[in-house]
Amino acid sequence: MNPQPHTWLGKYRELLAAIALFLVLDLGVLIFNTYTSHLIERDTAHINTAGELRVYSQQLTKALLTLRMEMQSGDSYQTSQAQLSESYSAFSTALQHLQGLTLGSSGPGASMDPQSRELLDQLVETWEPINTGVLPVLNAATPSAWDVDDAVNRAVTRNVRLMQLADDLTRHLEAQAVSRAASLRYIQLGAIFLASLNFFFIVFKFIRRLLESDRQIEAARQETREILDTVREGLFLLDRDGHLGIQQSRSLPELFGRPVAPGLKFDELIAQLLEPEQQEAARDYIDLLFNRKVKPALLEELNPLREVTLAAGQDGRRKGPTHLSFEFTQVLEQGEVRALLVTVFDISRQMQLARDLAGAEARASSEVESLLAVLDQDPAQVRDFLKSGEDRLGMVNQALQDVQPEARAYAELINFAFRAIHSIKGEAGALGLLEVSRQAHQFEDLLTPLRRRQDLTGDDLIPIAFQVGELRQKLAQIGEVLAKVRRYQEAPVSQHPFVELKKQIEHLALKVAEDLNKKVRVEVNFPQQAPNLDERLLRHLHEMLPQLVRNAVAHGIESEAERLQAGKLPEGTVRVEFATTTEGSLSVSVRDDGRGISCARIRARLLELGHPHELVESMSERELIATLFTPGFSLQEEANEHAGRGVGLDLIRDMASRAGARIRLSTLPNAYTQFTLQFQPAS
Amino acid sequence: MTAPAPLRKALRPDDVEVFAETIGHFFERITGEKALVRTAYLLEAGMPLPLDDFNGLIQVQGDYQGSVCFAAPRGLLDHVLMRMGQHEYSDADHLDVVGEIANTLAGRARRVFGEGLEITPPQTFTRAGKPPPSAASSPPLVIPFTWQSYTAVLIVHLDALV
Repeated sequence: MNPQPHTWLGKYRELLAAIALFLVLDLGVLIFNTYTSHLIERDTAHINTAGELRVYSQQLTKALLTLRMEMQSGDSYQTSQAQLSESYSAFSTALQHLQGLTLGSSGPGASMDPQSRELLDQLVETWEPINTGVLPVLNAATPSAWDVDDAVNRAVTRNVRLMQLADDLTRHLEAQAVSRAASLRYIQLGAIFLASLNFFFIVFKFIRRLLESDRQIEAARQETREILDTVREGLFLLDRDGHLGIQQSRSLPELFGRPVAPGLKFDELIAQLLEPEQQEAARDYIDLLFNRKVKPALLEELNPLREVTLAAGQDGRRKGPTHLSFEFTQVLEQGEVRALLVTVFDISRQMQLARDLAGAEARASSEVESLLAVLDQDPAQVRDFLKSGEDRLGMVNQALQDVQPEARAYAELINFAFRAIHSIKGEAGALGLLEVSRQAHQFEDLLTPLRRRQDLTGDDLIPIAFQVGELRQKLAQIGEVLAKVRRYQEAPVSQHPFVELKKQIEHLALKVAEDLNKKVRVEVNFPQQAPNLDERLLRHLHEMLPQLVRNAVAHGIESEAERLQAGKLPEGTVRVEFATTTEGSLSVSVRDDGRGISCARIRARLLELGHPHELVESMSERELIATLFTPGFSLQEEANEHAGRGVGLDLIRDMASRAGARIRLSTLPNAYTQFTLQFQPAS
Repeated sequence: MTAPAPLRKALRPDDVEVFAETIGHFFERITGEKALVRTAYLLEAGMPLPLDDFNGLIQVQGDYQGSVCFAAPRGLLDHVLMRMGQHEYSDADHLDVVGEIANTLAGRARRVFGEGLEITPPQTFTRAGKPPPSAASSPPLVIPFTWQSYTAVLIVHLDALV
């Protein structure tokens, strides 16, 4: 499967969006907090400035009153004048600062509301007369008493109003700051709430996704486990370093006849199973498999582990399969071979069957030769041998049946069987019955190690019973051959060459008649004195006569109803006559008393088959009859098993030509048809 | 001309040992004591099958054809039932036991000979009953078992066809 690099992005898109939203909200809250802090700081500065106006107004009025009192008393008033200047300057600066809020869009006044602006305007309006009165006092080095009185009057009359306005502005700004702070708090809480919601969404989504993934992984794992537990084949992955993967089919230890731990080196696994040369070949092949450039089809061909015979253990036995087949499939990732999927099949049974089949074929061939060898022996001797052999095996089988379940009795039985089988083997060898001798030898091979054992049990006797059966079968086969030979020898041999042919002809005629629902009687006449025919001529007769007889019944003889209608006996007759001359020529005629050959019918049939009308009409009777011998022509419209394909007479003409025979045809419609084959004497 | 006979190979001893092992292990599992093979012999032509009081039989078709039958006397099955914790030993109970053994043989046969083998459900019958005719033509192999003082018999009548 091709990797899909963007799949994970799609899978986690929602999650990523939620996290991004969470970050945006957090960042928004942070920015908003910063902005809010700035506003609160600014509001605090405004409130302080508005509060200072009250103090400075009071100080200015006080300084003016002190100045006038000191001027009236003739005291030095420079200090008062300086305090006045200081108060004035502070008031003006504070006022200008507040006014500055309303001037530029970038200044703090840009955010001042209409009510604050109105209070500030009133403040400026109340301040302006004081400002006008104070400026001459401040500007003159020695202010006149009139200017001072005027300034004092202006200040005293407006000071209370000025302080009141400053208080109002301060309170208003405070209220505004409190309101703004409350709004900001709500917004902050809202943002935090949204961020929290988003956070919980992320957590919920993430956990749900994790749980879903866990469930899917668990289901996949369970499915894989079930497959691996059920599959008969051994399955595992092999990595580049030659280690087995963690996931393995349960059948693996059974197949290898040893525990197979995950992470085990493949080399170690095969070291105990394969011969060193095979191990080397396997290693080379696996190296090749990890090479992406080599064609997979070629790799399959090269697999040295397709049929592996497993090495036997130290005791000469093997637990589990005897033959395994390894199949390797490359696991690709981004065009590279990441690992190999190894499938191990137990092919012990197939191999055993193949061996058995090969053995059976070899045995069958050998058995034929062996059985034919019987014919070279004296039948009486062979019969005696078969009898004694059968008796001996019967005694062994009886001993098996009667044996007591004791090791000693088992040992005696083995020795008894060995002697009996050895005798059979010796006699079979003397008579040249190699197959029996070989089977007896195999029996001895089974018995020999058992004779040395002292711990025999009943289980050890099971293969012996089998061998008794096998050997009996061999003897029986020879017995059957002898019986067949005897039957063959006793069968009467026909002296006359036409006797067998007569049987065939009669059988065939009756069979065709039965198939076509006709009644027919066959008469075969041949001279009692057997002619001196060569085999070639006899073979030709065996080929040609059945064709002529088949034709006579199929085409010549009418159906029962047709015959009755034509005033004939319901049963047709086919007569075959053999006649010889003193010169050695042979004539064979096949005559039926059927419908004969009608030239009108041949002509009609030719027209049906599409031959030109003029041509057909101009044909003589001889020419019309000659068409019967042309390939593919038949008077019958539909073919059946016995006629209608237009090959019968064509074939006979060819055969006659090859045999050097002449064919004569004579016919009379509604009376008979006769074919005569004239064979010339052999030169 | 007759059709050629299928190429027939004899049943291998390993194949039959599988059944013998199954019987031995069945007794070991149920009674704690293994049934031991006493001997093995071919049943001579014309001899009746050595059936017993209770018999369980499976029939096999496919690569192998024929039957496998386990026959045991009442006394032996009484002991088996007793070891199984039963207190009533009716004929039906005895037939159940031989049926169970035949079923175990069927399971083992399927595992050893492959899924291609068709095996009938176990058929059970008493001594008075009649076994179904076997499709095998080779002589039956009889394997008597001893368990305590009793003798039971496994009759393997199978032809292996290639």
